[in-house]
Amino acid sequence: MTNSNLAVRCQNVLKVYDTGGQKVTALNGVNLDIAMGELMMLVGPSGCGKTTLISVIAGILDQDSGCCEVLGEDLLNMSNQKNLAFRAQNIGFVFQAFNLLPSLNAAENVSVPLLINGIKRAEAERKAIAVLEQVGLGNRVNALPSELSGGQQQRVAIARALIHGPRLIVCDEPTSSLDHETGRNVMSLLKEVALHQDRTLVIVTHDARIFKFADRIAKMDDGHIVEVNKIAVSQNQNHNPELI
Amino acid sequence: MPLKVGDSLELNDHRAIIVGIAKVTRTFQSQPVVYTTYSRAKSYAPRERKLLSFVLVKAKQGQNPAELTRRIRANTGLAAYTQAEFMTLTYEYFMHNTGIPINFGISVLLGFIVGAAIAGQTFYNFTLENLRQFGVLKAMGTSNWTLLRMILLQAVLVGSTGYGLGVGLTALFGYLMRYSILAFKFPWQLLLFSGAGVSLICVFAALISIFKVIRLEPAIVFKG
Repeated sequence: MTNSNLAVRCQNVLKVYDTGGQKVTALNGVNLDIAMGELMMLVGPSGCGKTTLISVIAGILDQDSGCCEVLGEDLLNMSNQKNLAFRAQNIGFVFQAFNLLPSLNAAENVSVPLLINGIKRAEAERKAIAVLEQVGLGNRVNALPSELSGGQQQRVAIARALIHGPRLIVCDEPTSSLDHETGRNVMSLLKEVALHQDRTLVIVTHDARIFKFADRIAKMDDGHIVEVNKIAVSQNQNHNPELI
Repeated sequence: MPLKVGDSLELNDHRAIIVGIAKVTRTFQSQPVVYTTYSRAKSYAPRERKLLSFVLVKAKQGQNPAELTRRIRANTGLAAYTQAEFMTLTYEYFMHNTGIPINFGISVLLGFIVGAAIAGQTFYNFTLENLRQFGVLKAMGTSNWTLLRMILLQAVLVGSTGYGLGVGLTALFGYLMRYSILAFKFPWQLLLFSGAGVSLICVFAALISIFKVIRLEPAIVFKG
């Protein structure tokens, strides 16, 4: 893969947390390339460094050493202002707990990234309604998060992650709070609506039921990438997919 | 049992009949005041070197009160004051010679400190409860400056609402008490002073929240 085809290139990334005098190595020389238009899943046991890695990739956490280029930019050496603007324009977020603003309705929540990018409120909400229609929530634009089911809230969160046309979407356990059927629908939606040629998805998950949606799966353990696999999907829906 | 018109009472071995009860606002002093003629007052009150505290003068129509007091001073050698001057004199007496300003000052200061502590704590708790939301906004690229303005706007809105309610309720209380014996005065200086106090409390409450949000790591959004 050439650099121009890469959405993310992590080289020898190291991150150590100081927890009350005790040093904990969360990332211990991580090397990982993610191609443009790829759906990469990060899997592994709790505490293996998945969340730290996704935070570094999303530009919301600085590594201690090593290089992590995201969409061709070295975020560590970027000024704070430039980093904020880069995130606002290029990164979309989907969280396990949805993290919608409880006092805003669906359309207002979805329009937040556009407001951050300086788009006028009326224009932002008009676009938000269009994206909500795209994710099948055109009839719930005025609903508050508390009035929506878990699956609907996650679809609002996906619409929020999509609205500003980011080139990278990072998702943290997007299906963990959802039942199997809803989780599958959310993943189908992510794959159909979010993923395309120049948009990349990085998903941290424990949920083996959604592995089949990945293009590749990176297994992490103890702060390392231990293997990166392509996936073979079983024809039998009841079987978990196999890593090859 | 409260006295009423027609009751008789004894003042220093002299019988007195109540012919009227003056409706006055309550003062800080607790001694009863008896209104009577000067000749009767001399018989009721024990003999002292100075029996006369002051003489109330009613100016004829068209008289200039300031000019009148000047003439009284010139002709009698006594101190003479207009109504406004006498009010100022009374006010200054209470301010300089009694403990009232200190007691009131301590009450106001305590109110300010308690108000600031409660408002600050409430506002800070609000920030803590919404820390994850602030983290989400930060992760999505919202600058500290924007978050700071959001918090200040919230403080201004909360402060304005509280100030408006407080001033409104105070004014309503004063209006309802207009025919009662309670003294009520609500000058513009008090509005200004309490407004400044509320602003200070809001700034203080916003500041402690702002420090928390500015120091917030956006990576908190991925923590469970």
